[in-house]
Amino acid sequence: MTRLILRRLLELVITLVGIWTVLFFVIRLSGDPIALLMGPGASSGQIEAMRTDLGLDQSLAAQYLLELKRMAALDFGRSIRGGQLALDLAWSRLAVSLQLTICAMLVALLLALPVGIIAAAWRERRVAQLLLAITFLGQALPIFWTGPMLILLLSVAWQLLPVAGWQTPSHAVLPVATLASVLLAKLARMVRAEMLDVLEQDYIRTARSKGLLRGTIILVHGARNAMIPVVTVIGAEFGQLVGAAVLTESIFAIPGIGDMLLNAALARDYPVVQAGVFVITLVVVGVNAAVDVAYSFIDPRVRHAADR
Amino acid sequence: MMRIVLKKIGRSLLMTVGITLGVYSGVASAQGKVLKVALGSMVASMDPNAKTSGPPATIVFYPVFDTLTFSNEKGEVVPSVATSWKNTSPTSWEFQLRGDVRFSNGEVLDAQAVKFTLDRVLNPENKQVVRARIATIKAVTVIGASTVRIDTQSPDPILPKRLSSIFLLPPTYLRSTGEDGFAQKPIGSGPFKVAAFTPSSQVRLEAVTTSWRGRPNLDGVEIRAIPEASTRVASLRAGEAHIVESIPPDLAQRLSRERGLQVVAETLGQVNLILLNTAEPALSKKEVRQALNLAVDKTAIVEGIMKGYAVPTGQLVAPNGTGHSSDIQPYPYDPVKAKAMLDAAGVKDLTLTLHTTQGLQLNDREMTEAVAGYLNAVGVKTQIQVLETAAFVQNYHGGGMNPAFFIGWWYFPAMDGDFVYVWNQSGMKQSRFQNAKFDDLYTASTKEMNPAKRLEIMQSMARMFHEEAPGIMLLHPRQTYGVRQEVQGFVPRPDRVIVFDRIRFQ
Repeated sequence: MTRLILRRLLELVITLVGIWTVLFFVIRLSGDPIALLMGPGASSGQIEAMRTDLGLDQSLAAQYLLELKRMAALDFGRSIRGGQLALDLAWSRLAVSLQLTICAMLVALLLALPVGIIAAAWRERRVAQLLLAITFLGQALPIFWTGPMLILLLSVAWQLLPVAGWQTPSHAVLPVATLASVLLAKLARMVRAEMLDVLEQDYIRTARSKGLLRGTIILVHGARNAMIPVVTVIGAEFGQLVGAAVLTESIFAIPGIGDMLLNAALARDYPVVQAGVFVITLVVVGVNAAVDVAYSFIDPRVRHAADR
Repeated sequence: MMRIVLKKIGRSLLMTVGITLGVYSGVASAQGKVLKVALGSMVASMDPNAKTSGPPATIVFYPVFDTLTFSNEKGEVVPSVATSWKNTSPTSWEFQLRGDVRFSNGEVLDAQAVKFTLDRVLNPENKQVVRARIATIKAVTVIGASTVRIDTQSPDPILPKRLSSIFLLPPTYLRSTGEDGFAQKPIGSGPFKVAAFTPSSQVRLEAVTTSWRGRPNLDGVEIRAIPEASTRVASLRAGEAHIVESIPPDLAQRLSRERGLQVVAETLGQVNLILLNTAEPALSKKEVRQALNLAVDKTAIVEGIMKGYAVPTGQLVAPNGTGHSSDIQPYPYDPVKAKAMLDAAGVKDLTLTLHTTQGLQLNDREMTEAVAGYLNAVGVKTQIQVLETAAFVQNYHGGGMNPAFFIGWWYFPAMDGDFVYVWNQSGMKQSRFQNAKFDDLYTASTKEMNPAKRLEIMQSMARMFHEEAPGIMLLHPRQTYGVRQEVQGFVPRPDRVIVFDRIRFQ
C-alpha cells in the first residue's frame, strides 16, 4: 500500500516536470508577449528593454534551467499582464473550477448510474433505449450550442436562473448541466456495458437461483461489481472534463482556471500559463492517483495483488 | 358579521401597509442602485498607467481615478484636475490645478501628486506601459501647490491631449503600501472607489461622497467581463446587466426592437483598412492602389457586414478626431473604372495575399473576405491568410504579412490623428508607406504649436494619404451598446469610455 502511494507520488513529479518542459518550449516558440503587452505606442527600444527586464532575451536553454530551478521552489514569477504572482492567481481561480468540474462529474455520475443500469437490466424495453438515446444527444450536441441554448431558454425566456457568473448556487445549475451533458453519455454507456457483462456472470445466476428479488440482484450484486471499472475511468474523464470546462467557463463568464489559462495563452503571458498548467496537472494527476488508491480499496483482488 | 368586517378592514390595512412599504423600498432603491455593466474583457490589474492601456482599462479607471485633462464626447480636450494650461515657451507648459481634489482616503491631490505620478510613469525602470504616450516630457517641476510646469524635449502641440490618459495617484499612500499593496487596494480621487476586484474577471465599485466630481446618483457599479457575445446579450435581456458593450451587429437590429431595451451606437476614434505594402513592385504605382480602392464597395460592407454600424471612409481620421478633412469623400464604388486603371497601369495576373486576424477586431475576417471578393471581380486573384492575434502582432511590428493585411488603428483617448499617422512614417518598422513628402508633413505636424495651422498640416496629410492610397480605406466602426430603458444619462463616446458620474436609474 505504501509502495503504491510512493510510486504514484514519483509518477506525479515526473509527469509535472515532463508536461512543464513541453509547455515551456511550445509556448516560447510560439510568439512574443512583449509587443502584445506594450501596445501600439511602444518603440522597439522600449520593447527590447522590457524583454531584458523579464529575462526573455537569454537563450532558451538558459531560460529553461532558470525556470526549472524556480519551479522547484514553486516560483512561477509574475503575470506579465497584471503583475500578480502567477501561482497565486492560479490557486485563486482553482477553487471555482474544481467546484464546477466536481459538481459536473457528480451530476453526470448520479444520472449515468440509473440510466446505465436501467438500459442494461431492462434492455428490451423501449423506455430504456429512449433514455440512452437522450444521453447520446448530450454528447452529440457541442457545449457551445448547449450552453447558450440553456441560457436562452431558462434564463432569458423563463427567467428561472441567472445568466452568467458564479455567485450563488443557482448560478451553478446551467454550467454544471452543460458540462455534465458531455460526460453523461460516455458514463452511461460504460455503466450499461459493464452491467451487461456482470449480469452474464455465474454469481448472478446463483443469486437468482437463491430466489433473491430482481432489484436486489441488480443493485447489490450487479451494480456494485459494475462500478469498479467505472471508478477507474473517472480519473481519466476528469482530465477531459477540465479541458471541456474551459469552454463552459468562457460561455458562462465563470472566473475559473480554464478561463484564466485561455486568456493568458492568447496574450502569451508565460508565467500565468505555466502556473496554470502546473496547477491543473497537479489536480488531474492527483485525482488519478487518488482514484487508483481508492480502486485498490474497493476491489480486494487489486489490493492483494499490489501487496504481493 | 363583526368578524367579517374586522377581517376585511384588517386585510385592507395589511395591503396598505404592504403597498406603502413596497413603494417606499422601491423609491429608496431607485434613488441609488448598483449599475451592472458587461464588457468583452476586463483588466488584469487595477494599477492604472502600469500594466494596461486602452479599453477596457479606461472604462474601469475613469470612475476611480482622475486625469489632468479629459476628452469630451466630441473628442475635444477639456480641463479636469487641471483647470487651465498655457505655453510659457514652445517647450514649456504651465498647468493650473484645482484646489479641492482629494483622494478617497483624504490625501490631497496637489502639484506634488502630479509630479509623483508623471515621474513614476516616465521612469524607465518602472516599465510602465503608458510611458510611450508621454515620452515627449523631459521634466516635471512643482511651482506651487497648484501649479505644475512640464518641459518637453521638443515642441509638443498635443501634450494636453496626451495627459488625458495618465491617471493621477496618491504619493503618500502608494509609498506606504508599496506597488503590490497599491495594486491590491488602489485609491483614486474619482467619484467611485474599488470595493472588490478579481483580475481579468470583474470589479465592484462603490460611490464616494467626497470627490470633486460630485456625488454620483448610483450607489455602485459592477463591471464584469462576459467574453461570449451571446451570453452578454442574454445578460442584458434577462436584466442581469444594465449596459452591455459590443452587441454583434446582426443581433443589434433584433435587440433594438425588444421591449425594455435600446441599442445605441457611437462612431469610434478608429479606422479599419487593408494596408498595402507600397514597396511591393506590383503595388508601387499609386494608380494601382487607387484602382483597388475603387474596386471595393464600402457601403455594401457597411450595410451587409456591419449592418449599418459603421461609416465608410476615405481617410484615417473620422470627424470626431483632430486631422479630419471634411472635403475628402470615400472612394466611390466603380469596378469598371478600377479594371480600366489596372489595365492602363499594365497590371496582369496580380495575386494578393490578404492577411487578417479573426475576432481581434469586429468582423475583421469577414471584411477581408468581402474585399477579396471585390478584388476578384476586377481580375485580381486573392488569397486569405488568417493569423492568430499574437502572430499577427508580431508580424505587424516586424514588417511581415506582405503585401496586404487588415488592420484597425485607433486614436483614442487623445482623439488626435497623430496616433494613426505615426504608423505611416518611413522610419517606423510598422510602416508600409515610404513617402518623403508625407514624412515632412508629419514631422511638421508634431512641432506646430498653433492649433489652426497644425490642423491644416494634418488635413494636407489626410489628402495625401487619400491620394496616394497606401491602403484600401474601409470604414470607421460604430461601437454598439445595449442599454436597459431604466438607465438614464448614458452617453456613448468615441473613446469607449463610460462616464458613470451622471448615470442614474429612472
